[in-house]
Amino acid sequence: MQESGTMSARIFLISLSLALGLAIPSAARAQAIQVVDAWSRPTPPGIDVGVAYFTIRNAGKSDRLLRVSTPVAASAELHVSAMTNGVMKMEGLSSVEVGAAPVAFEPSGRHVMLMGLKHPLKEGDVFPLTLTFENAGAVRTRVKVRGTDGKGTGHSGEKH
Amino acid sequence: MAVAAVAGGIAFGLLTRSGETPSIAGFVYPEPRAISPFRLNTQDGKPFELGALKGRWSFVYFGYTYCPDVCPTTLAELARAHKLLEDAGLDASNQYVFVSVDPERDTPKRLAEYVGFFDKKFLGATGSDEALAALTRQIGVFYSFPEGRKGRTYAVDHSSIVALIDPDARLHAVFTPPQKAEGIADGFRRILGTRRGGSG
Repeated sequence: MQESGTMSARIFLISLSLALGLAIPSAARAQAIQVVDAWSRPTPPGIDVGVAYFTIRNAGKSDRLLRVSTPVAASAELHVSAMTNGVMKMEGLSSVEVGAAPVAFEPSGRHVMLMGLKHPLKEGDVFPLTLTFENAGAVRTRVKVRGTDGKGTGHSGEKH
Repeated sequence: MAVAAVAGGIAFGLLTRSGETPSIAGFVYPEPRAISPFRLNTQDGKPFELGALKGRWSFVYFGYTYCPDVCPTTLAELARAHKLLEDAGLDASNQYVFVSVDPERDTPKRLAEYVGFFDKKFLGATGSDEALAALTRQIGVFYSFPEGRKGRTYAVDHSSIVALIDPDARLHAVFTPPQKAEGIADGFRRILGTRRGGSG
């Protein structure tokens, strides 16, 4: 009885360590980078450009957002709107450093520009967005299309 | 007694401030600047000229429809400001105008679809570079296109201001970015207050 008890304990420990051995790296990867509160605005008819905003949280070591993609648009670029001498300029970002502090993509600041939208975005729609990081690899989030005023459909806090 | 004195002091302070430049989320011209003639076209192909600014307050924003971030953000706030002013009974004859500085891409049809999406009351207007310059220079709006622009998705650098033009077609104030509906509505309320309390 004791023998078999020890045996099953051993098997349990082996399976546990195997399971942990397999699970830890992917769990750590998934948890280090979180993309939360992803939202977008509805687009007027005939307009095939759109936007996506979100916040990136990083619990791990410093990482770098390299690119974004979504099936709803032909292309997606990392941009920043910045005021220079009272003039709003929009510039492309080749990558975005993500350290310990949360990085916000928000109106009139860093944002993802969606180009060649395949259909207009409507309030209440949810579409996938994949963010690719240097270390963490691909992190998927779901983008909620809010009302034209950026409100109306509430908190979109999808965590992945 | 003390309370009455303080209240009186506040009331006196408010009264004496009438006619002075109110503080808003932007700036108010101490001497409003008369706008000279210009000629643009609305999204319906109708002329939009100096006369269209007379007899009502106009909120004018300059941008372009391919702008993904700043323009939709500002227009959404302006639409909310319109609602706030409507609710406050301060919207009798106001007009809200989106002037596109990108006439090449912003056809009348596109303008119509765009402005109507934000607010049914919004008016869209644009014109040739020359026609635009006749208005933008007076308001201090700057815009420029990237060199060798091609394709459809180039970005236009532009002043992202909301100009407030008074019923005498004078540039009265400018709301500077990032504009919020409450800031626009509150600023407008203050401007109306000083005009009524002052000589006007």
